[in-house]
Amino acid sequence: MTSFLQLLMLPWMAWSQRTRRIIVWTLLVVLCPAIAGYVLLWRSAGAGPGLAHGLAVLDCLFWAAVVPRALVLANEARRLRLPVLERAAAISTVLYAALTIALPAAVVAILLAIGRRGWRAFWCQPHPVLPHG
Amino acid sequence: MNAMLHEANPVDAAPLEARGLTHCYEGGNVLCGVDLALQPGSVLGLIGRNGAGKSTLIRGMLGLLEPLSGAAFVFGEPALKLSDPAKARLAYVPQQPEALAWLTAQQMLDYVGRFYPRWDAAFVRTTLERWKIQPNKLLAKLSPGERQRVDLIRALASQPELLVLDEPAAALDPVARRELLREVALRAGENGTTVLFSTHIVSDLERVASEIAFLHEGRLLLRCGVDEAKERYARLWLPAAASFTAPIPSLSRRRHDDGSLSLVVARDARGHWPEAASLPGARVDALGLEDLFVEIAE
Repeated sequence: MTSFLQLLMLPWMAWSQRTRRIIVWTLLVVLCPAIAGYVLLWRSAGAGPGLAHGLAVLDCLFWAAVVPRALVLANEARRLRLPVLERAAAISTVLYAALTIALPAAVVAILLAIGRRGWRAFWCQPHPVLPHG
Repeated sequence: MNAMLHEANPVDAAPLEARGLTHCYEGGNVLCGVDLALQPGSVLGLIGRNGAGKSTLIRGMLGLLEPLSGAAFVFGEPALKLSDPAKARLAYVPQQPEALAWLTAQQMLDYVGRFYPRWDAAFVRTTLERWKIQPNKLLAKLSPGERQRVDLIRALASQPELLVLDEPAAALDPVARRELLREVALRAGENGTTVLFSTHIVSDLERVASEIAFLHEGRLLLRCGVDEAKERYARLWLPAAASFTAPIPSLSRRRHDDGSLSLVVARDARGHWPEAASLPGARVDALGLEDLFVEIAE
């Protein structure tokens, strides 16, 4: 149980199926309007901060849903002397922590690049999904 | 703490071993230099009164707490730094199974089962049915007895080489207790599983244990085979007139209001009782395990 995907899945699998469903629906309810809003505003000057804000919210949701569970799992695994799980849960926590720093950092880097080159210069290029019209 | 200093050879190692374990809570000593090693395939019943240090000893032996001094080893590895392969050979059921309570019994068993190479899913299925446990009920909503049984299923389904049970029968009804003991005896007999279980129910010991270890106020007072304990120890009663003879080595000594003396004594190497047993009026009473336990614990 140590592949990258398994480490990502580990905290999720420890939720009951019902709770997983609730988390997924919550994410969808938050994400769908956010994506829709972003698509609608994607060329406006306000899209960048909106995107950063959306990512921050998503980060918080991930932390709230994943990290406590991973820590609890690591603790429970230790209490029961279960193999693999304690280490895997700890690695998974670190992995999620790294991701929650790395992803917003990447977005901030992009936004800074946009700031330097100009928002329109960065975004107003042919786009494979939403062609410039 | 000293685990790395005492590293044992994993090949010849005892499945579970404590060397001079000492621990204290809030200034009071709970364990006082306990030495205990389990031989492969043995079933050791750890007996003692409430607060004698049984759970602390078990937790110390499994590396769940860092002792003040001494060290513990599981399959020759320092208990505080157990590797995953060693953990996979071990199953532990704590006194109060509260872990993973947000899952249903089935979810917990499925989840935990992924981490064991020899997980017996068929055993899980049949035992849940046999013990009449609803697999889709949340663990948090099961009764203490049911939760203890689910935890026992988790432990047994991993087909461990070492099974450590801390008061496994505490929340079980007599029928469930008997089933558990039968299962433990079966595992020990057929698979050669080494078992350590703590209890204060003496009849449980007599059913399955091959050896007993008596823990009293953090010290291991007695360690021997179950049958040997019954044959080797007895209560020596001395009338008041004879009770002030030369000191007699004993496990416990109690003076009664009338001046008479009760002692728990052991046969010597030749199988003889102490000389005081032949004093006029002296009497030697055979002791069952329960009597022996009460005499020493009081």
